[in-house]
Amino acid sequence: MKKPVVGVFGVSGCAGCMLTMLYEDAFKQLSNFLDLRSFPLIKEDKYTGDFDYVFIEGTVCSDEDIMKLNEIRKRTKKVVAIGSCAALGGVPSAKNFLDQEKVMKLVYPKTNQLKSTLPQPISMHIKVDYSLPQCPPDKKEILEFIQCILTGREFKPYENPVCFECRKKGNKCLLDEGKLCLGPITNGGCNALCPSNKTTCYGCRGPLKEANLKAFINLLKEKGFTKKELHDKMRTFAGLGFGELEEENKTSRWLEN
Amino acid sequence: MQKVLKKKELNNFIKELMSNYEIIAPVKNGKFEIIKDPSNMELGKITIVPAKEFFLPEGETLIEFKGKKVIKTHPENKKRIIFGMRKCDLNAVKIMDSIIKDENYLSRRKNTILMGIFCEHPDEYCFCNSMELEDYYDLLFYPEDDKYYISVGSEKGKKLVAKLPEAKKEIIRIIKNFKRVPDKSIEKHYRNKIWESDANRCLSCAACTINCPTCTCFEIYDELSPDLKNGTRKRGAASCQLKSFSTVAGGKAFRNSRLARFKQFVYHKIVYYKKRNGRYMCVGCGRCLRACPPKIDWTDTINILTGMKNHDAKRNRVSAKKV
Amino acid sequence: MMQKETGYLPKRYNIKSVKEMTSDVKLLRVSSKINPLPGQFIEVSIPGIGECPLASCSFNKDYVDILLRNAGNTTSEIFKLKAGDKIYIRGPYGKGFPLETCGKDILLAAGGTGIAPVTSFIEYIEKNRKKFGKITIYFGFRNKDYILLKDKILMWKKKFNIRLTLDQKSPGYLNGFINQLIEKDHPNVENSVAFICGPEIMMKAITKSLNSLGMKNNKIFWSMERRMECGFGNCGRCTIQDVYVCENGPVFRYDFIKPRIENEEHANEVKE
Repeated sequence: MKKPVVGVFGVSGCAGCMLTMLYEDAFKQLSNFLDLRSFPLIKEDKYTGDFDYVFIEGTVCSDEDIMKLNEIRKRTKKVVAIGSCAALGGVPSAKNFLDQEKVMKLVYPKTNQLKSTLPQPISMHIKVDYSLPQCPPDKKEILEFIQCILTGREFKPYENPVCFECRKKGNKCLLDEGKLCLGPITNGGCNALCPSNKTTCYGCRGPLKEANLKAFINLLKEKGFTKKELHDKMRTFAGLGFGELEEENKTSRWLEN
Repeated sequence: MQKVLKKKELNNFIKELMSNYEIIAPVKNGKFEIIKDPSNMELGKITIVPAKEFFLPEGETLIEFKGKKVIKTHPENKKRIIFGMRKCDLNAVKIMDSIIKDENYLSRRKNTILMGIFCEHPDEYCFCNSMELEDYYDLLFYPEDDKYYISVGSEKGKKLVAKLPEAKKEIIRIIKNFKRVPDKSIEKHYRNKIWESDANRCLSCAACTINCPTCTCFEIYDELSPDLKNGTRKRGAASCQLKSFSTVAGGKAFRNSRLARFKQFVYHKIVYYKKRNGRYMCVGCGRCLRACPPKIDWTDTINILTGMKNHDAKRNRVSAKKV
Repeated sequence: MMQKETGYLPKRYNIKSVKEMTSDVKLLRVSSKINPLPGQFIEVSIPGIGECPLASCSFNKDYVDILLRNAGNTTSEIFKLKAGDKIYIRGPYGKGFPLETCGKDILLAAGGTGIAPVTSFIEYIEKNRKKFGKITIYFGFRNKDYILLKDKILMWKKKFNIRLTLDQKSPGYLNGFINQLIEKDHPNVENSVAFICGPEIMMKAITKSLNSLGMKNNKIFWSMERRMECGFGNCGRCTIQDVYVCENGPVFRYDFIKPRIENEEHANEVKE
């Protein structure tokens, strides 16, 4: 079998997702089966041909990002959004919920020539075939995805709540301890990394399709949490990820009263 | 005839057993764990997590694939004792015995001695007395003053306490319960709307089933090695509360609604299993209620359905929380 | 009676032949002496990929036919196999068609890949023809290109009363659903037992038609599809209320399974 041609790219981001791939021994092993043509951290980007699969990390924050994405999309059969930024908007999308001018002045007090657009997940600009959210992405999931590429299987995203894996590890519920944990409404697959280390879930893998948002909000209200606290948590790592779920459920209705 | 052991001798007694057995007992974090030092035991409270992982370990390998060869893996055959199980935990093992029939389970079960302890401090979630539990143990420790009075339930247990002196009196105690579910005839109420008020509050987080000592539903999945040459077929816990569990290839879920999934849990425990096996699958340990983030109390719902509790009381409770 | 299998170790078998039925359905013939009873199922697996439950599509002591639709990861992997390749199977599992119905007239109805278990039953009848009365078989397919096991159907035409109908109009074929055809045919069902396999919505419609002809629900059998995983009533995945499809089925008498399915549906209809 011909080796699949694979590339790794980043738009505005921290390169953490790429690092995660590099740090995984299994990735090194699997990359023997791949024709890896582009990977900014380890390879010069000279390849101009087409790709079978491209992994893209980072958030779309500028016109250059959009141009880069469009160019890659044209040369690629399947685009994979890797990490919370590419898949959901990630940390940079916090700007969407703030006063734009204030943010500009706060971050770049001396220059007014910087042009940055509203940060968005790459799916808002190009067609994305697969998403592997999480900040940083899950090594095991990357591995599984590459195995799927190599064996011709269809990759199936994990579709159970974070709580499921969390409870299987025998963890105590952080909600019971009075902390605002997004576990019940967040898609798992991370093996409950944060709650297992006593840190609440920030929803970095994005919303759970089957989430009972209404029940969750009622529970938070009973526990005395505010709308702002919920939104802050939802928007820290998942960026715009929960927006759709909120829209579907018309969340604000329950949050207000 | 019961055997007797001074409470201050317990740790030494356990330590002696350690030379021949792996000892598993409740520890501070609310779990059962393999212990090396008996002083780490925490026998005062019911654990949050049941002991079922010692019979059905998460992600255990069922089969290995080596190239084209398929190899059956055998479970570790360590002799072990689980100490500190309560009446609910002990009955749960009996229920697991009736469900799980594969070689791995049976061999672990055969190598495990159940050394229970009388439950002195049930909490507000316990309702074991309502679940028609039976005596099921190899040994059962009844604490009384400065001693344990030990009932022997099997030959295996008898050998462990052979050296201990016989008791001069017999101590048998009954567990106190605050919560009761006197009437469990809910089969005819399957379509009652009241279940919706429970299901609407359910987060489908599966905490109830994962922490239930008798919930044994599992999934089988394959993993490939990074060189793609070898693989394993594994087993991990599943949950009826997750839509993915009843979804078939093509995407149709047979328990599509939260309500259908919620009722599956309650009815399996109270109705379905009993129809097949003549006893309740629920042991009244209350772990599902304790673990539930919104604290949905289905025993309360049963009591309302069977006329054991005022319906308005429940409705008020639910609506009061909405404000 | 066979001893109850409770292990997960599959055995390796040789694939004798692979026949393409339609664009997404294939028929595999596997050399094996497991000889499942009509209506029983087997767990077919690909090492490292997974298992999938499939009805046996034959009744023969030397081979097992497997009819499969390319619908998931395991089936698409099985789809890649060729004659001479190896395949892994454990089972058979479940109760098949009740063979004590011998002596009766038999009405069979199958839609789409539901033809698989029905085929195993027909082949059983062929080998035990004297034990049964009149045999009437209804087949329903989407259109001409989706007709499965054409060769077998042609052969059966010589022995049995075969009624084949297509959802879409096509010259030379009957048109409409099986239930409509049954109502038109108005067969005498006095001494009959019916076995149906197909999508639940189809089985429901056929059952209704048979009821209207005077057939009682205790004479109608459904072959159910759920996600059977362990195969012997342990994993809990395939349950319909108190019933394990893998262990108690997959063939159920309709009056037995009906209240359970209806409860399940009722619970699913709720709006949150």
